[in-house]
Amino acid sequence: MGELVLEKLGKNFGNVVAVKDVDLTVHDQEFVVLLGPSGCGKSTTLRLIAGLEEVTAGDIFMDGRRLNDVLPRDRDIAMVFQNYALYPHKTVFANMGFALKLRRVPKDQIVKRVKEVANILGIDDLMERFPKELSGGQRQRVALGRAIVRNPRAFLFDEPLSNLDAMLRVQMRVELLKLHNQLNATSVYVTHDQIEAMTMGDRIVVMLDAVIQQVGTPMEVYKKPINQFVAGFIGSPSMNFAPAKVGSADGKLSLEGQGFKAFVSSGCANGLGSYVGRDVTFGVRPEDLELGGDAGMDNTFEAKIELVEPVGSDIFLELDVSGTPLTARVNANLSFSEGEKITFTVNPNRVHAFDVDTGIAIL
Amino acid sequence: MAGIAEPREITEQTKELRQAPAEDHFPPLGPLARRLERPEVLGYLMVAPALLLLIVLLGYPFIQAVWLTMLDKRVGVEGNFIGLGNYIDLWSDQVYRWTVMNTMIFTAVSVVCKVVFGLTGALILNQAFRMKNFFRGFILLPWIIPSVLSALVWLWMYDDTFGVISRTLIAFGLIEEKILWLSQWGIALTSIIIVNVWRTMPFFIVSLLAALQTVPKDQYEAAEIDGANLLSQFWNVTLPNIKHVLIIVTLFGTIWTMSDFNIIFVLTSGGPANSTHVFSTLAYQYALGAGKLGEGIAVSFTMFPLLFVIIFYRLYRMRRDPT
Amino acid sequence: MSWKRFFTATFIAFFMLAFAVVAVQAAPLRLTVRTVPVVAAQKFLKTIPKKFKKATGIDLKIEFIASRELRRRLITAAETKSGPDLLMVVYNGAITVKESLADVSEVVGPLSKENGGFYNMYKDGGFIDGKWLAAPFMTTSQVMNYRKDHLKQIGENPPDTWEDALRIGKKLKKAKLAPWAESLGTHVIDPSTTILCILWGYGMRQVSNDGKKITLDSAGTRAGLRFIKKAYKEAWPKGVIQWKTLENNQTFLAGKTGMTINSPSIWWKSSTKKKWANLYKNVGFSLVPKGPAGRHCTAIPQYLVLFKYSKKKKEAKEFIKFMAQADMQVGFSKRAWMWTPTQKGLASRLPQNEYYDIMAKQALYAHVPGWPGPASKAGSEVHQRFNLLAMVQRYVQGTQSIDETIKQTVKELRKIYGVN
Ligand SMILES: Nc1ncnc2c1ncn2[C@@H]1O[C@H](COP(=O)(O)OP(=O)(O)O)[C@@H](O)[C@H]1O
Ligand SMILES: [Mg+2]
Repeated sequence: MGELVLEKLGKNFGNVVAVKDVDLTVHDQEFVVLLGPSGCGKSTTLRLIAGLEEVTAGDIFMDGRRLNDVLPRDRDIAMVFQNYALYPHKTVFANMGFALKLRRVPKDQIVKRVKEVANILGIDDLMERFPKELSGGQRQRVALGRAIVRNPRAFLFDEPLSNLDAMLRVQMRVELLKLHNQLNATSVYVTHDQIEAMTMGDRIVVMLDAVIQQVGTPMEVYKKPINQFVAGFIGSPSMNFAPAKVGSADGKLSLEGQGFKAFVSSGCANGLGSYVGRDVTFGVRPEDLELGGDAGMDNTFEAKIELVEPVGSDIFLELDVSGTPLTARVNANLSFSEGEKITFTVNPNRVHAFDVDTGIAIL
Repeated sequence: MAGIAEPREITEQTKELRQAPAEDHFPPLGPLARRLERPEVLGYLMVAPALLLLIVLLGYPFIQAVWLTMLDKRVGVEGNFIGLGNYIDLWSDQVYRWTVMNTMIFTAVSVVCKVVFGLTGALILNQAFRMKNFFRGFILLPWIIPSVLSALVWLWMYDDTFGVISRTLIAFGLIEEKILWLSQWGIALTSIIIVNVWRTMPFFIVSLLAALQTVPKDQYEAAEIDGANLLSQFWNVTLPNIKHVLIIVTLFGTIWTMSDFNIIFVLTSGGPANSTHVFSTLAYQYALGAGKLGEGIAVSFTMFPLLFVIIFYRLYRMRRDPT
Repeated sequence: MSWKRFFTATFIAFFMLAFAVVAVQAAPLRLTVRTVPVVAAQKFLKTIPKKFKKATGIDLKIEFIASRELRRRLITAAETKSGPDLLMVVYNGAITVKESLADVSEVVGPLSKENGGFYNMYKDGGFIDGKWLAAPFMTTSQVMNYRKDHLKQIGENPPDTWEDALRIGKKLKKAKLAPWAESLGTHVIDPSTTILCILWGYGMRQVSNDGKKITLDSAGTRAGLRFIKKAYKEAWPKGVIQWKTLENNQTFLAGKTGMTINSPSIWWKSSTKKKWANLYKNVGFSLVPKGPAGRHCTAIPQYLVLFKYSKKKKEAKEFIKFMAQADMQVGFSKRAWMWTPTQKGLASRLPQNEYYDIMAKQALYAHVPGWPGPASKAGSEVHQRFNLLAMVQRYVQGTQSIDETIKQTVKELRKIYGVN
């Protein structure tokens, strides 16, 4: 069990609004990732759930029980900290068993439970060591172990992988996911790393400026960003934006900017009709710029290559389309040179448009 | 940019260097140089000046002092060697034996009070409250005032005629008659301890406060989530994290307390009936009062075994500690 | 080395040597004394170098230090063989460092026969092993200070005997007037004064006149101890048991002590502020009371000692002679309120008033702690280590019976004196 519900949750630090009107339901056994730039209120949300901060407004429920006034230790929630927060003077065993010891669990049961968990995490031979005698990854595991041992209703993770090097981060990501599948515990995971969010989350909650922007599965958030911020924040390199005007010809709607004109497939153009003749923000992801096409055809335009950035699997091309800068992501097997002129085609199904004033997605 | 760019200008000097054969840069090492290359040799060599200085600055006076305690040295006169005579004399001296006891009581009680109150004070000042910085500065005052001055102020407060302490206690109905704070062994020793604690507590508070501020906040939070109440947070997070500072502070506190002179000299001068002497005041009485330098230094010297035991015990404990 | 170089080196060496000799010769005579709180007297002291230079052509430099620093200076100067040529010492200070002091009998001997000779106490602390090792400098008497108005109120004259003092003390207490109070805490000045004045008066002698026998355990000692305890119980404030040397001054000035033995500093101090104007008029002096064994008291004799290391012994002796001149002694005393000359005969040249009269008379009865033994380190040590004071404190506070406290002290004194 472990259904976590946040209702109109808010938190102010003096004049600083850290979290505002957060409504969110984390289902039992679900892995939800809070994603957003630094300072957007992710950690605060997490700490509100854990009970480390007092709620300013709204409610928190766990399996129907209101948690607002419940002490952290009685919430039956475990948390893994960014810096692990291991007790430096306690052995790994004592670190992991501490919560059970405080709950007066008999010694033999503590030993049994800690061993069990250590086994799962592969740290059984570290039991007598002190935190400072462990590597970063090992500490991370101990911190996880300390949370798991308690068998809580929910896990909270606050950027748990951000202190690890890149290799280890990828490895731990996979392990964490496996672990989650094994334990099937409700988890709320905070990160500012979208790759982590995309790969790990059952659902992603994108936050900006204390407010939830969008909640959805990774693919929903990626494909149908609700606003320009989400669109830009998710995906790497980020989505291209350019000012454009909505045009209409032969019953087809188009987005026309400096040096390009993109028709939109009628299937997706629902909201755009009312914008005809008005300015919008055109958006297209770098991978949706397809190489090739004959100049003069619909959705095709010419570009000058400004910079070639090979990243291994792909090549990022910084383009100049008659003054509009765009980034394209193309196959690494091709070769380009700076200054070269090439043509691109925009997939009409993958074009985005955003309201200039509100940033809300129209398309 | 591709590759590492060549330096655009090659000066005459660099040209020369480039043309010179490699051996010219690193001539073969002579026998002395080769020895110096070895870290253990070079290491000792490099600490040698400091060690020498230590020996000269600390060791020499120390040995000189040891030697003096074995003489029946009086002021301005060459002393004769009498071996452990001074120590034997001291041991048969009742005042000295009292002094040993006083010093131990004084030091132990003082240091324990300083640790307890110092830690309490630090914990309070570590909380967020208004004018926190003001209090943090203010608390240092007793430590800054020269100890003779503050001892004189306390003497005034303990005064039977003008003393504010007795008066206040009477005003609040806590006592009926004035207490003669410096008149009897037990009370006088307590009064001295109070002043000593008052005076050096700022050092404890400030040091421990600094230590408290280095305790990672997330450890408290982890403990809170793990289910620790305030008391077990203190035992399991606060205390272990500040343990080293606490030990060092206690160590210094012990040394300072044990060798405190001004407060006792001003408040009781060792009285009544020589019952409140500590090593330093008794040493003063022997050396400057009676002019018996050898015996006076012997008194101070008996402080060393006690100090050594304490220091080594503490350091030993600290070294064994894995964290 | 070439000849030229050799000559240059020799020349420089010679020059330096000559310079050093001249430097020593040119250095002034150095004198260290305590600062005197009385402004006029301090000014007078500061004019001395000029007068001395005029009289003798010798340069003199006076350094003033706090009186509580004198002892430390004495010990360090003696031990390190460096410091002033002449240093002021009080009481028995010279004895402690006697080996480091130069014999000044040559000048002090003749002075001891002039103007009626020195007060007796000067021998106790300055005439050591048959030589003058300290030259008398100035006298500070300790007298009985009393409130004229309070004594009048209870119809009493100042006490002549200790029993008078006790009677007056009891009356003062009963009348709720400022009481009689004598310091009994731990200090080398006032508390020691209290117990020595009383114990001597009742016949206590710590040691025989030749210093060869501890004579503490006597009927006189017992009587004195009993008197002190009685006075503490019946007349003195309880707090005197922790009074050092300043408390009786402070309480007298605050109108809370009506009678106490002290140097004339209370009288002087009361003249310095308006708020004490009334008190000033009412301070009276009388002699320290006498007991069955006579009138005895302590005073604060001040000496100048000349260190053996001094390179200016001749000049220093000149200065001793200079300071002993009647004009200097009387001139300083006139300005200094609590200082009087060292020679008995100069008393007649002091201002003629009841205060100077008592100060001069009182000095006739004064001894230095350690009396009646000859000047000895042991006598000085007993004073500095509070053996007698502790004896009294234990008995007064009841931690020991009269027999126990005497017995213990006898044991201590035997050890210190090294005699039976
Ligand atoms: N204890 C605090 N006191 C004051 N402001 C805080 C506190 N904690 C967080 N904030 C502010 O609240 C906002 C959200 O912080 P946080 O939740 O830590 O962001 P994130 O985890 O998304 O980086 C930030 O502006 C931060 O400065
Ligand atoms: Mg954060």
